[in-house]
This record gives sequence, structure tokens and C-alpha cells, in this order.
Amino acid sequence: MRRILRGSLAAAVLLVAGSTANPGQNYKIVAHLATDAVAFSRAEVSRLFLKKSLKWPDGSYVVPVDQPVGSTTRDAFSQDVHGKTTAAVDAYWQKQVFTGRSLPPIMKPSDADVVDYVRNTPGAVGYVAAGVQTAGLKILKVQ
Amino acid sequence: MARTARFIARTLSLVLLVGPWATGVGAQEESILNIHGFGGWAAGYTNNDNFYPDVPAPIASNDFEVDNYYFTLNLVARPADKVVIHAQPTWESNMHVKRMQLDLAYVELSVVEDLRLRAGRIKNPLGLYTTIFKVGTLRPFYLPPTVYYRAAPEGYAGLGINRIQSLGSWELELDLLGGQMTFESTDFDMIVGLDPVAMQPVYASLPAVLRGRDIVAGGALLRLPVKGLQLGASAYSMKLYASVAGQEMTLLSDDRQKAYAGSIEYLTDKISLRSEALLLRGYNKSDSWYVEAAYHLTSHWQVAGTYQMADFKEPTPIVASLSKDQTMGVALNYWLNPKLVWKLNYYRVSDNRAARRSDAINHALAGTLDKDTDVLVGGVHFSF
Repeated sequence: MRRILRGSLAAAVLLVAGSTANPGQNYKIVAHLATDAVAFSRAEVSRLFLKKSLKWPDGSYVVPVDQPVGSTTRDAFSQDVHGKTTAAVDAYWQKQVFTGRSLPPIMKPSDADVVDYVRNTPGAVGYVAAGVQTAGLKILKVQ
Repeated sequence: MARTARFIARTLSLVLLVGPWATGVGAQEESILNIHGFGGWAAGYTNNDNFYPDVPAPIASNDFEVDNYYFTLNLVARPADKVVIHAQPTWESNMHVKRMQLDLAYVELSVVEDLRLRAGRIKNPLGLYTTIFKVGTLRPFYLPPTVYYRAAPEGYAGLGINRIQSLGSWELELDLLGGQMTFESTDFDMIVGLDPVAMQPVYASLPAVLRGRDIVAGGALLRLPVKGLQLGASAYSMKLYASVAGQEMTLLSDDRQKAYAGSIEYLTDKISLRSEALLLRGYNKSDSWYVEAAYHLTSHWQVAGTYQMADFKEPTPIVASLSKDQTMGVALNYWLNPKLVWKLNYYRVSDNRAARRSDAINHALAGTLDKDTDVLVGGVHFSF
């Protein structure tokens, strides 16, 4: 019985590691394969994408990549991670740009472009729709 | 007209020149040069002979002004790691001036993470609206709180230090600055002589420029764990000079002019609440404050209200109403998206610091200056 339980647990862990997204999420967060991190809190992820945290735990630089205003994936991500609408996040970036504090993340027009960019850019982190194929990328789990 | 053509030609040349190195508009990608911008147009009407506001420039009069527009380029270049160059040229037109000017031009050096040194003509970092003075897509009214920001300069010439310190779920931003700032031109109501026949003083409202020298200022902005809530405090000390009607700059007082300000801001998806208070002490003594609230009814429609108050106590006013202001305003805005908004604003302005006419002092003494002014402003703001 214990062996069955242990086996089920291992299978569950593998399932989570290879899953497309957290339950209920219609996006998933993808990072470059060499990224030395697997799980973050929502607040930590938010800080990465708002450029408030600039480095990964190993000290390398984070390169966040965003999707355009109007993207349904971005809407879901903004609401779930930042707790704000995309419009409110866009206003945040306007203020950052026009006060000279910071520039918004690189923007890629589609899930495929995000996958391609993250796969080829050390330190990169982005988000794509839950069903998108993400072979060769690390999936970050949001706790 | 020739100046307008020259400005457009210069701007287009600049854009064409830097285009190959710049990111595309909206691409938001960091590269050698990033180009953003903002602007607006407004039509303004007042129900009497007063224009509004007195500074930085009137946009409303009884003649129904439509010649109010401006365009600003926000340029950020990163020629080297840890070095950022900011420049901000503006072209503007209103019933007083048509001009192109360089609002800002400064270099920023990141010494260590979150500590930045700035040199040049730098954004004034103290105040909720000073750093985004012309960015209409970041506020609900066409104008920033008028009498509160009436002469506030967008930038100062000198040095600055900026530090952002993360304190767990709190964040503290500190600014220290030193240098010189020139305030927007304003009218001084004053005695300019003595009528030798009537043996009565002669009064005039004359254009004056104020300049603060040897400025030392500091400010702190505390972002609280409650998302969208921040508190601010700042203080200035400076030697205050003035030039009246184009005369030489002269020191107004040996005592240093001091200013103390506090602010609170709360922003959510639907709500924005802002309030600031400013005390001036020294040659100029005044109290001013405002509250501003806005609410998004839908993603497109927004309503807003404001109350603003100012009382300029010293130099002692010749006519009280010329040194006071009480403004109530309401707004109805239509946001096409976060970067384009149509605005319709109505203000009820009492007293005449901000709503006045030419030669206001003599009209006030003659009893021909209207104390209450209704102002209607309609316009559009954009940014990219």
C-alpha cells in the first residue's frame, strides 16, 4: 500500500512538473532552460515582470518578456499575477517610462514568438497560453 | 507660421535620423534609443472676461480658445551599461505663446543597484504630478490641479540622487537634489509708482519670472503594502529671485524661501484618489491643497471630481481675491484605450488667482473683475 502511495505521489510530482499550468490557470510561465528556479509566489512573479526584481536567485539578470495589450493571455496573467487589469499595468508602465525610472519589458506579439525568444535568451521569462507547446523551456510554478 | 514649419521639419529630421537605431513605436524594447511621446489638444471657454488658468498658460477664455495643443517627445538613450540619457523636447501653442523648448536633458548614472546620480536639467521628482506634468493619459482632468501646480517647474538644473529601497512588502524612494529652478511666468499685482496729480498709487499687473537658486531639496515616497497606496513628503530651501517685466533678476529676501509638501495617492483599477498640500514659508507665504478623485464606470467611461484651494498670504495682497482660489471641478472622460482619452471638464472657480483678466489689479480696484468664473474645457490626450 505504501509502495502504491509512494508511486502515486511520484507520478503526481512528475505530472505537476510536466503540466502545462497550475490548475485553473489559462496561462503558464516559461523560463530559459538554464534558469535556476522552479517556483515563485505570485508577488515574486509580479516583481519580476514589473522589473522590481532584476535578478534570479543565482544572481543572473532576469529578462522578462510581455505580450501586447489586447492579448487574452496577458489579460489573464495581469489579473492573476499582478491583481490588476492590463490597462492598469499599462498605466504603471506609462508612469515608469515618463518619469524616467524604467522601460517596459520586451514585447513579443504571439505565444510562438515568446516561446522562441525565451528559448534563445538566457535569463528570459515569459508567459504563454496554457495549451501552448513549450518543449525546451522550464515551466515556473506559481505558488 | 515659419516657426511652425521649422519645428515640424526639425522634429521629422530628428525622427528620421534616429529611426534606424530606435525601437518601433509601441515595441517597448530596450535598445540604444527608445522614443515615446505624449500630447494633447483642448478647447476652453469661460463665461466672463477672465481667462483660465493664469499659468502656465491660459487655455480657456470668453472667446472660446481652440489654439491649445502640444506635443512632447520623450527620448531615452542607453549609450553604455549603467548610463542613461534623457531628453524631452516640447512644442506647444496657446493663446500666449508658440514655442519649442527642451523641458529636460540629463544624464543618469547607476552607481550601484537602485542608486542613481543625475546631472543636467532634471525632472523635478518631488510631487505627484511634477514628473508626469504633461502626460495627460495619467490623470483624469485635462489640467493638473491648477492652482497647486500653477508655477511648479517640470525640471531643475543641477544634480540629483535617487535611491529606491525595498523594505519587504514596503518600498521607500528617496530623492535629494541641488541646483536652480525657474518657475513659470506669472503676474505680480503691484504698485508701480505714484500719480503726481492725484497723489495716489499707480497699480499694475506685470509679468514676472521667479527663480530659485542654491536649492537644497529632499523627498521621500513610501509605498505601502496596500497595493496602490503611497505617501510622500518633501521640503525645499532656496534663495528666491525675481525678474519683473523683463528687468534684471534681483534677490527678493535674504531669508531663504522654504516649502513643505505632503501627498497621498491611492490607485486601483477603477479608482484613483490623490491629495497634496503645500506650505510656502519665507518671502512668499501661502497654503494650498487639493483633492482629486476619479472612478471608472466601465473600461471606457470615467467620472472625476476635484476641489482645490490656495491662499497666497505674503506679499500682502492689494486685493484679497487676487491671491485666493477655490476651484470645484467635475470631469467626464472617454478612454478609447489607456493611451488615448477624450476629456470634458467643468470648473467653478471662485476668486481670481487662477481665473483673471489682463490688468487684473486695476479691474479689481474698479470693481469690474468677476470673482466667479465658469470654465468648460474639452480635449484629448494621447501617449505612446
